[in-house]
Amino acid sequence: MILTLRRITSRLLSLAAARAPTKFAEWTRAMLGELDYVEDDRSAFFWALGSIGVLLRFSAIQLLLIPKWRDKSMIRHTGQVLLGAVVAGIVCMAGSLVWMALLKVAGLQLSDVRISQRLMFIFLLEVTYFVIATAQWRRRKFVSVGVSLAGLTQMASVILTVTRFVR
Amino acid sequence: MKVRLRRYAQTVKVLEEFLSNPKTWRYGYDISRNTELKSGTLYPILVRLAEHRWLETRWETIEVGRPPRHMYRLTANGIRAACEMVREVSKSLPRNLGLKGVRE
Repeated sequence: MILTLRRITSRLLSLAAARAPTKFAEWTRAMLGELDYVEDDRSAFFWALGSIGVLLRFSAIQLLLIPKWRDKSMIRHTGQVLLGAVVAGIVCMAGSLVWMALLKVAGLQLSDVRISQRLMFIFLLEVTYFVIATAQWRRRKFVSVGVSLAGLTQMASVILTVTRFVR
Repeated sequence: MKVRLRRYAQTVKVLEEFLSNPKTWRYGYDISRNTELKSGTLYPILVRLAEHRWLETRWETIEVGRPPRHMYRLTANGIRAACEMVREVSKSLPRNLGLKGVRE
């Protein structure tokens, strides 16, 4: 019976230790190892109980640390997505400037431009976004996501405008 | 940035135990018995002391077939800091309740 109690105690602590955070692996091993040297079974039982409490505390610490790490990376990634959107905005502005310059050279007003020509301009912009997003995908995935999102938003707004115009 | 170790009674108890023979390596269970602290109280203290580099640790295999034991000893910095902390605590206590093992 006494032997069984010790075995159960040891098994319980081993189970808790197996799920303990790796950061505290040395201490987990220390508590588990020390159990073997505790003289009487009653003390061993309380030793294991205390150790399980410590392991739970270690796990709680780990859980509290993970969201902090997640938050940091989330902020970084959100920043990169916004950077991508800014890049797309700059491309759009540069394209618009070129477009306006071309109209000026041709002596045209914006109202004179046909819808097919406008759509062609949007298509060229979308192709530019696609090229940038593809080029950045491997090195700066989140910047690429930002560019793509900006491109998709622009495309959606164009589709909405065109459908309204067609009506 | 590490947080300064707080002067909890249990931490002082553990430090006092180490200071009673600073050069000796100690086992967790022995510290627990001598200080009458449960493993659930003792190990977080030991972890904190080691994090602050007040404590050095090593593993020792005593018998083949039995798990190795984790041993602890105060570092030079640890001895200095522990003496200071224990002394501060003993100063704040009435003379007849002064902590044992603290050499002035």
